[in-house]
Amino acid sequence: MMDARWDLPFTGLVSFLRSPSHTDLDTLQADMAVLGVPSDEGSPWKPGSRFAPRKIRELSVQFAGRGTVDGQRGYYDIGEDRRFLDHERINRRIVDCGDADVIYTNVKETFDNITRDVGKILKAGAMPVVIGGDHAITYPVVRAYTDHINVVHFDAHLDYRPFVHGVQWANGNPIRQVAALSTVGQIIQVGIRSLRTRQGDLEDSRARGNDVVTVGNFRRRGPEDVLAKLPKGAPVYVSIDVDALDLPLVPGCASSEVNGFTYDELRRTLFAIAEEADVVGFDLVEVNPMLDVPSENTSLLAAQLIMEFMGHIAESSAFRKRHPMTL
Amino acid sequence: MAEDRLNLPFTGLVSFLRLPVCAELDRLDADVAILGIPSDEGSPWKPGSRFAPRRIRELSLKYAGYGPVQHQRGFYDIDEDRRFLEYERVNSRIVDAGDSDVIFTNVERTFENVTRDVGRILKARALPVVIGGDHAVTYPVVRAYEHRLNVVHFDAHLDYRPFVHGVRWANGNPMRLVSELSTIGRMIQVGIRSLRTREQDLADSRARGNVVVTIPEFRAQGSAAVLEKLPPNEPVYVSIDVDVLDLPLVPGCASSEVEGLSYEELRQTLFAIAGHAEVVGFDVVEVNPMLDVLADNTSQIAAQLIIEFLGRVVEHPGYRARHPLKAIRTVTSLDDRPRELVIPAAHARMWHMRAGERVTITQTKGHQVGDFIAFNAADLTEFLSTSHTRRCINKVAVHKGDTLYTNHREPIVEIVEDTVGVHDILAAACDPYRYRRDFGVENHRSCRMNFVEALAEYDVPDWRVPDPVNLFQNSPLSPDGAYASAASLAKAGDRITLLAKMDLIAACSACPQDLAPTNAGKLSDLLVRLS
Repeated sequence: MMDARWDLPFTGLVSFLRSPSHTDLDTLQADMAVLGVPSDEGSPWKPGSRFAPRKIRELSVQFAGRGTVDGQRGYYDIGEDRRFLDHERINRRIVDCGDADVIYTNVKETFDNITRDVGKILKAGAMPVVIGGDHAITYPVVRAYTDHINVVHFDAHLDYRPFVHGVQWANGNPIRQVAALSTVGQIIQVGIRSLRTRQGDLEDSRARGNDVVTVGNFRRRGPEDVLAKLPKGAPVYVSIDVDALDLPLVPGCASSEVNGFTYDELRRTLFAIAEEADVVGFDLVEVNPMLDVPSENTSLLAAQLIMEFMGHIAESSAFRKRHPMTL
Repeated sequence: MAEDRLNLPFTGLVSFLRLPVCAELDRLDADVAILGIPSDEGSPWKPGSRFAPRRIRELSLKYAGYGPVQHQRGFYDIDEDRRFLEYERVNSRIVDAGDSDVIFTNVERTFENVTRDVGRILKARALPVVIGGDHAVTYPVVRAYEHRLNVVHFDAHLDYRPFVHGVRWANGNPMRLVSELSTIGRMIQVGIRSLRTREQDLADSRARGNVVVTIPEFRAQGSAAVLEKLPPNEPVYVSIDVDVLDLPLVPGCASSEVEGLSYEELRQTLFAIAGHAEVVGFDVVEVNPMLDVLADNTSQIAAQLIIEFLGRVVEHPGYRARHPLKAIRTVTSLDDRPRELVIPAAHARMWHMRAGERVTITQTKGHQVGDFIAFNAADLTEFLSTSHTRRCINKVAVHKGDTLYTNHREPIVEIVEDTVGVHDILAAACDPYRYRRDFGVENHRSCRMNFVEALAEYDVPDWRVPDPVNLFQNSPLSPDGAYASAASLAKAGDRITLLAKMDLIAACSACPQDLAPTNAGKLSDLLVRLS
């Protein structure tokens, strides 16, 4: 028997929540698979989100529990007085698959790698949890799904720029790309507020039948407004640009904007989606550690958001049906 | 023609919003002038606000639009579903005037430069938008105004320190200096909350009659706390210390304080002021890029605040009366404009004309009505008006030799040739309501919306489109007042020629009406030729 260890968060090898790592996706056995996509070639302002998967993993170790000393494997939410992810952590149902390989100067090939990796995770019956990278990476992730899905997109920006001037794989384009996929049904865009919004993009998004919920709408009508357009119990992919959150919460983000969501508004909306629909995967993008404050709060917040959303997805009846609690 | 560029925000030379630069203030021709004042000698704690004008300009590029590729020049507020600053951006009515010259170790000389620069901007009848620098710069800006004005001051601090121990030009003094100017009426200080507030400064400020709005008072009343004390429609100068915002919003500020305003509270109050009084200038001060987070968020907030406030300021009727909508761009670009264009069936096209030029509008296949409108290029609030024309010429129909008039009863075009002789100046343009109410059809193209499309660069909303002259339209009027709708009498090759009596912006819509007899059931192109 090994000696008990403290496993302080600044010690040891790093994986998301210190989950077992498993980079050979052909032999994957898990319920949830964390995949990093450290690509930021689609960023027209400050680059650096390439470092987010690594840094968010590092900060997630703060939530990993103190090894064998404190005997806590999942996490405890004191506000709800409930434990989450105990079953998944103890039984190694969450694995860290490492990062998709980035072929610098060749975005298309990088994106092919991403789609292939996510496809393998789906084939293994696991739910992909994707850490970007800039927002461009959402498209190669979503195109890996072969079944019909809806999409909920949290963001300050529409990311619905037209493909002009030779640009279509950038972080302003992904939702227009996703919208063109035959597998994608309803798209709901939540938190849109930037003054850099192109009116033509909004018209195009609405013309497709997408629901665009501004922060003003959200505050006036609450999270039910997001859920109203989301088919109950149907598969949904959730893409979270961290700039959906209010600017002071996310200093480590190149596109943060004022008047965004509080952390609690975002997490409660995510929990409601996990409960009402069947979340089949999600991504968190646009954390830029090169811009963050020295305490790395943006990466910490991202790690917590990912973990909390995973915790509530694991409690949903749809997920539990696919992944029954067997030992 | 220049090649389209993406103009990513990290590329290219920097000016505020990529506006044209005019550092020679004696030759300024603009409605709004951005002036940087990179002076921070008045800061008794951490210096560095000297870098704010440069950094705020750089971050403003994120709102500049991606060059011609994006086709968006002003900005769009998604929550209000409205566009702002489009006219000012397209017509280069906002310019970046560069920075006042800073004479280091000699604050008084620096401030003389500031006052001289602002005075020149005011003399050129432009509205100064000042980027500090520390708050000391507000005094030399405000003393440049020669007329009476009120002042609203947003800040965590009173900035009303007495002049003791040889200090009077520092960032703790400006409001006491401003209050002593003979031009200054009412002063309102909003957001004051610092525990470093001197009780005597507060007493002095109130003794002058100033209104001091603390955070609890602001929270209880909202922007009404400011508006009810601010005389409506009088000139007001607004000074914004970014430390009025809550501390976490402004890491790049040497004097930020907890319990400040949210961004939304500040912007809504600024918008309310812009609607209530006439803002004649404003400053944003105390951004310190040397202290900011790596993402430069404080500079970005300052840039956004400036463009959002400015977007509302230019919509005040007092501002618009002094700065009428002029199509300046057309005057400079007339030489390379196309001399011929095709108006595709069911669409509209816009063109520019100089006084004395002629335009001929010709049928391609016949029976095609062309709705025609025109604006004075020097003032878009003056336009060809069919109702004024009817009274000016004492007729309800127009023919060769007739002159058409504007809403200011000035001649705008004359009919100098006409091969048909039957046109209409009574009917409104067809619009979505006509197709919905009279024909039960949604999303049908219409002349009114065609004009909105064709005039997009002038941001003319549908309700501002004037009633058109319906060229080639056959709507016979009977002596008993009956007013019919019949097919156009124009045949292929028929044409009408109009002579411009002033520089103008014209547009013509090849009418999309295919549900009434107007166009004889088939829609066709019209040809436009300038000579």
